[in-house]
Amino acid sequence: MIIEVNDLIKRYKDFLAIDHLNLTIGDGELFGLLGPNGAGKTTLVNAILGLTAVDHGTINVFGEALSTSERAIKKQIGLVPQDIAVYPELTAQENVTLFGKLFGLRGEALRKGVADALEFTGLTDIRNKKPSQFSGGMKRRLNIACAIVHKPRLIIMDEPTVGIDPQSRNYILESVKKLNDMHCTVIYISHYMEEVASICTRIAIVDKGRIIAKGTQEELGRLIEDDQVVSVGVTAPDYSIIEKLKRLPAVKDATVDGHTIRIVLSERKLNAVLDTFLEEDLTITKIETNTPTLEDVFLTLTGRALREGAQ
Amino acid sequence: MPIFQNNLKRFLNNKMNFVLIMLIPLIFISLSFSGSGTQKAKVGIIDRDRTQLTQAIKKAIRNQADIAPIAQKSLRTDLTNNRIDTVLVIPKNFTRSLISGKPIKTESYHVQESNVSSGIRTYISGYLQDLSVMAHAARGNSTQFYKSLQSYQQNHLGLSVSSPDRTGAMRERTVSALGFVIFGLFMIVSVSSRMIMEDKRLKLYTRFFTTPLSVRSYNIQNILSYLTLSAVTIILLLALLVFGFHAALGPSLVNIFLVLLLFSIVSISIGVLISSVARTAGQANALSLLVVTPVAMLGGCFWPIRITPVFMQKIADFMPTTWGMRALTTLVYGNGLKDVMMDLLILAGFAALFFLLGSWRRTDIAS
Ligand SMILES: Nc1ncnc2c1ncn2[C@@H]1O[C@H](COP(=O)(O)OP(=O)(O)OP(=O)(O)O)[C@@H](O)[C@H]1O
Ligand SMILES: [Mg+2]
Repeated sequence: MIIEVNDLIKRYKDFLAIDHLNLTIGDGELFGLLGPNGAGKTTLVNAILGLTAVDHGTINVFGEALSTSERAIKKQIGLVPQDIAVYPELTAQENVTLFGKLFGLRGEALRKGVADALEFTGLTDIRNKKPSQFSGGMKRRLNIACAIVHKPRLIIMDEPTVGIDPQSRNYILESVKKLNDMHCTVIYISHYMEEVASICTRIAIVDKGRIIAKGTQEELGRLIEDDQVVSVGVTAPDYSIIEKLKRLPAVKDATVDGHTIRIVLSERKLNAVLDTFLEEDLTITKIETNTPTLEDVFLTLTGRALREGAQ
Repeated sequence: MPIFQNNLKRFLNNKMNFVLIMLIPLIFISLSFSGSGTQKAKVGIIDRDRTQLTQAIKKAIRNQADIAPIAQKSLRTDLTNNRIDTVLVIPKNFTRSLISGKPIKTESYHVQESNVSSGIRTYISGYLQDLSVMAHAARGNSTQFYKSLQSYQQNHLGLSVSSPDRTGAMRERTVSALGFVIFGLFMIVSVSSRMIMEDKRLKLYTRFFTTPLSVRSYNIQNILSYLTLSAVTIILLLALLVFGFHAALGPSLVNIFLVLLLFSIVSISIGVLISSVARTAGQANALSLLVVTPVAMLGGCFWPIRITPVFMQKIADFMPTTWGMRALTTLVYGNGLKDVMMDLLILAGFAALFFLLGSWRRTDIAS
């Protein structure tokens, strides 16, 4: 096992950031950790790396507790932090070299590690430029280069694609897959459903400090296999209908978004739903039915959207 | 030592650092050494103490100026008629209180804007300063005091004959220049706290500890880098003092270097403390600003403490700059390291205290 987290608890005063969390990640996995803002993803990573004290539970990395051989373990981990953390006044190459040295590389190994990391992230041509002149995507790539310079066994990426253009994002996602193909275990943290769905072999969904579901994409999908998602367009949505809909036995969830009412059904029976609309005398402009996505899995399990502003 | 090397690189990249710890002291040092040398002047002395010591003072002044006989009554007219340039009044019990280590109390009168008297006045105050340093070193033992006075007079005589500039006046200027060196080194407070806060602001502080680097190693490398920068600054400024201004730095340049280096450790410890208390880089900057200049002022970096009011002299005892200046003054006036041991111990105590306070609030790396 690369990572084993047992019954982890982390409190900030009265606030439970990690709540009895259990997690195991095997060698060679490309593991996705999915959760909304404030779910406790970064806190979990900090706990794994010993950057924050935990209140209860154990964490083993590469089969050992971090405290037993901290230096040896950290030499084999690369963390891409959520916030870009590089020196703006040093060049890309100087930044990567600094981290190479911190990971214990010297001489030829250092030179090669730096060259490889820059090449891998596509920064070779601009290695002598300073990050203060970089675009958001370039900075994100440099942030990654600093974490892979020592060719770690485990890479943890905390939302590595926040705030960048689609092209850079695809580049990064491709790189993550390539790293995993090179026998590197990757923990990929995100609140973008599509990213995790497109690259990860196994996924855990975190909410309020707990893992509320985990498995392969198919396994997660099966959780709500029989469900159906129905979007009903109406001219004038009315909140009282939400209450009525929710009282129906087949309805798992109902939400309003603009002129659309979104309903998750546990059985494929639309009759009762349509009856309710007719009773309320609402004008239906369209009806759409869909099979559930990961986003719906999340919505169904937590009753909340994964990203603020998302459906 | 990647953090160490990286800090040196960052320091050299930032021109503001040079302005702070090199350029500002350099300008003030040059000012300390500008102006005219000593001239023969006519001095009137009213001696109300009449001891072996006051005789020695008169003799020393006679070597530098003409002593004119004066009477208390005609003092004012003699001064305004330029029959004498300055008057020194030695009060009763002067000798006893000097040897027991009390602050020097003499009076002196002169006509405003009298250029002729400025040299000798500087000389006299320097000489009196010498005496109080000797008294400080003798710790109230009058036999010991007179013994060192005797050997001092011999050396002093030799010096003043061969090169009149290496007298009290030159020493006074040197001490004043060293005040600005101390001020420059005190700026390390701002430099070090700013660099640590920048690591935190850039989230590099947290990121560093995802590598095998330990907090202890990070701190040690940081401190060593600031210490190296201090050492280089000290060497450059001392070289300027010696070769540029022929400053009178006392018998051992190494001793001066060591005192300055110890003082930089105090500066670094304050920088570390500030960076542990401040939440943002702005707060750290404001705190350094609030600390550096007032403490330098109170500690006598810009003017001698003895000319400040008594209550300020009392406050000065709690300022590390005071003890740095004291040690340097004692060394410049011909003493050795063992004569400044107390001052050095106090400086080391300041550093230990601030380092301790700075490492008190150990919270999570990640917060
Ligand atoms: N140092 C701290 N003090 C108090 N509360 C904290 C601290 N750090 C995190 N929290 C709280 O713990 C919870 C989990 O935070 P965490 O950063 O782990 O979330 P996250 O899943 O990484 O979210 P995001 O997607 O926004 O990065 C949040 O509610 C946050 O407010
Ligand atoms: Mg986070």
